[in-house]
Amino acid sequence: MSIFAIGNGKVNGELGTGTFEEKLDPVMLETIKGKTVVELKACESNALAITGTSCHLHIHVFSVVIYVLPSESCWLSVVLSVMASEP
Amino acid sequence: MSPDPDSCLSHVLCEDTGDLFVWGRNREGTLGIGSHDKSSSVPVKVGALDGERVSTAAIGANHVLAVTKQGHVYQWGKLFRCASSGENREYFGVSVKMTGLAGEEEDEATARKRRLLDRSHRAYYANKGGPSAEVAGATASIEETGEHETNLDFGNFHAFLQRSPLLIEELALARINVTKVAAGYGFSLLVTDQGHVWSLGINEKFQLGLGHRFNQDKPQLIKTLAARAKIVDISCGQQHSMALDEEKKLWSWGLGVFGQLGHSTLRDEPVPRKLLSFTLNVDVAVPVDDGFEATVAVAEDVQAQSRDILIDQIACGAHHTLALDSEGRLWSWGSSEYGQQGGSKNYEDLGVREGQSKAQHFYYSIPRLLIGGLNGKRPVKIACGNLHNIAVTEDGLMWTWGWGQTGALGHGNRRFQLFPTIINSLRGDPIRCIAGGARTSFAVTSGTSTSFAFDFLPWVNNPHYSDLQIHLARNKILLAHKVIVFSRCPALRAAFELGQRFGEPGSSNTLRFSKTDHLVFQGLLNYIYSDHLRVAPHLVGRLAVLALRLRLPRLVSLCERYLSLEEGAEREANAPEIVVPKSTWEADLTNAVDEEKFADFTLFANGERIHSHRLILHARCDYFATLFTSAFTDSTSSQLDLPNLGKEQLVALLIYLYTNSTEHVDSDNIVDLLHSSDRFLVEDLKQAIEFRLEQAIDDESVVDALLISESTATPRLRNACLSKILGNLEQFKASSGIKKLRETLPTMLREIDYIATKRGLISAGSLIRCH
Repeated sequence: MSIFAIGNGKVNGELGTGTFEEKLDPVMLETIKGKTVVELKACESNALAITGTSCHLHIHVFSVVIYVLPSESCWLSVVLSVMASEP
Repeated sequence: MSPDPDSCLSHVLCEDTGDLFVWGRNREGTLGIGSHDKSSSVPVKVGALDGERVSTAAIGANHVLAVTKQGHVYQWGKLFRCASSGENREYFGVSVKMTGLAGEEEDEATARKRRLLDRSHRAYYANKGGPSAEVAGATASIEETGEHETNLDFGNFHAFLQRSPLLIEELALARINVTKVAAGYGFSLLVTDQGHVWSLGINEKFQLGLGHRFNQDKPQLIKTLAARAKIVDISCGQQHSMALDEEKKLWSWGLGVFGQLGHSTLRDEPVPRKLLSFTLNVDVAVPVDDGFEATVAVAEDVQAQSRDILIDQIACGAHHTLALDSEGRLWSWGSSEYGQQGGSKNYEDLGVREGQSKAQHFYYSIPRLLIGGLNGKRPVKIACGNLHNIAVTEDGLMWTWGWGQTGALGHGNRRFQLFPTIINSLRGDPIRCIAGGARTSFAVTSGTSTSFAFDFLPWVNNPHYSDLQIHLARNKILLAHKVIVFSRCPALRAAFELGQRFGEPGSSNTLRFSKTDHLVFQGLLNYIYSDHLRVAPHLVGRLAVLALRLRLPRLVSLCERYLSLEEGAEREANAPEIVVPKSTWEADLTNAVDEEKFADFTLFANGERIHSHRLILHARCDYFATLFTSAFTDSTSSQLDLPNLGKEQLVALLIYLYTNSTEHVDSDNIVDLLHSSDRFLVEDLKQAIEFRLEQAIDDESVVDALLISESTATPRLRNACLSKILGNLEQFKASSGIKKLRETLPTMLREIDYIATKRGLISAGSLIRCH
């Protein structure tokens, strides 16, 4: 997943590419790395992105039971009962 | 200017939304980072919302709104408040005097504006049963301040700069859950889960839909709309507002001088009004622009056929509107000065007809089908910039048209575009999400490349940790790192090992490609390090040949696709799309974890040795980056002892650092990994695990999850646990969890007791006393 920006960011850097430039062709944003963009909005001189992690797509945890075993280092040993479910 | 709601990918991501990044201008504190000085050309995280999960957001001219999963709304940037607290705190906050005109023109324009404002007031007070003497007097004495950018004073309605997120308490305290937001120039609209719309902000053009023009610093329910429709989506233009109800019908209000409301008039609408007329005839009569009361009679048959038109998506530009109906047709209306309504052959086709003035063809006050359409393709997403439009068709292509002076259309020039035109350079990967700003356009593609690999791009030809020299044509040398290069390209590894066996002695760190241009090879390294095609356009062909030699089929496909796009759209239309294989990064680098060969750093987890690589640790983990660059002895040591850390736990962390994958995270190691990610400052992994645990908490595990959140500084997990407990206090009282909490973390129990008491759920101290 990649984000592309086009247009004029000379004044405010609203392209988000790390430079104050104009881009007539789409340029990739390398500044939001390893994240999944779930929503993009733009307006006068700003833009925003809501991100999520795409990592959870592989496992769908349905219910978890956690047991805490006290120890001197507050170490938490956890047993989880995991039931896979449809996403 | 907000894109359609379906453009978000929440259905793909199981609603795992959380962090909010903002970039651009910050003079009004729009970035929400506590300052209002420098603009930011890189996205900055709104750290104040770390404890919340942002589900949606909107951005206006100078302010931002963010909605959390709990339905709370935060706002920041340039906001407004009333100085007086009296009942009549509204103020008709409009500057009357017109500037920039000469002599008589200025006087005439000012007088005309004053007449319009007075008319608006009279209409309002007539509806209210007649104005009081005080208010009528206030209307007559509007201060003629003149327009000035630094003037933040609108009478008793003051602008102030809010530099960090501020909760809209009125709605939160009333337990009103907001699901969607939209923002225009100084005003905001909020949709609740009940389908009601609330509005606040500047109201000089009725954009709040309240029937009057008084500015509002607190959210106001649009009662006339609440009584007639259940709203599911909204969008704001510069000074007009659109709403989509559950019956897929449109409502609009606010400024209508360009016909952007779609009511076949150029009149402002003080309250939401349902759109009744859509016309399939693109040559519909243009309304006569004779000022405030202009109207066009809409034929009955047009109104009749409009009843069957159901709208799926809406998007507002500055003064125009775009809508997508359930049959995949695009409708547009409002200002068309730069071809926002599309065109047929050339600009003259939109020209003056007999009996019309020059400017009239710029306004279309009846929704009509987009001229020319999208070449028969069905659009699935739409968005508007200020003066341009963006659409994505079902085949994943991105089309733009309208104003192009800033290059926001993406066609490599600054021309405005009458026809919706495909952005060729974005062909290939389907577009998943779009957005348009005043001078910008954005797209999110569902590409096969792994964006996290950009972490490694700065290390191309970087001497730090370099253990490989590549000798190229004209005695050029590039520096590289064996772990990345050989893991990603087995052919290069084979060549290297062959050279070790039969090559010149003393060349243990050398690879020779004496006939290859160094710029082409640097393009290869860029791909190997970043997983993206990054090479000068004229070298793509030569890079493809090199990739073919080195058996990198994915890079070959990337190059071929790029070349096919360069050759022009006509050829591309007939040729099959080139499919780029999935990224191999994860598979390539997994084998490098704990591999002794090429390792330059050793970690000891509880005394057990694990081989690793400084480059990867540095590039991917702030903890190690700081360690390696510090002035302490550890920075030069080739090993690090990590007590109280199991080998499996550390290897799991390393796999994430090397591959960005969490496939190996399971029920056995999830909490260990959460502690590791917290200890080594791996925020992304920490957030991913936090999300999983947050989804998994139930009545039995909630206290344990709360304890985990306290020990790992995971505020979202903590908030989720508190919500769970407060949502079912009786069960919590009866469970063993309360006893555990009292024994292990009594301060937390007191905090829960305090919050529950404040909310009126229990009497003070009852949780603490509960046994």
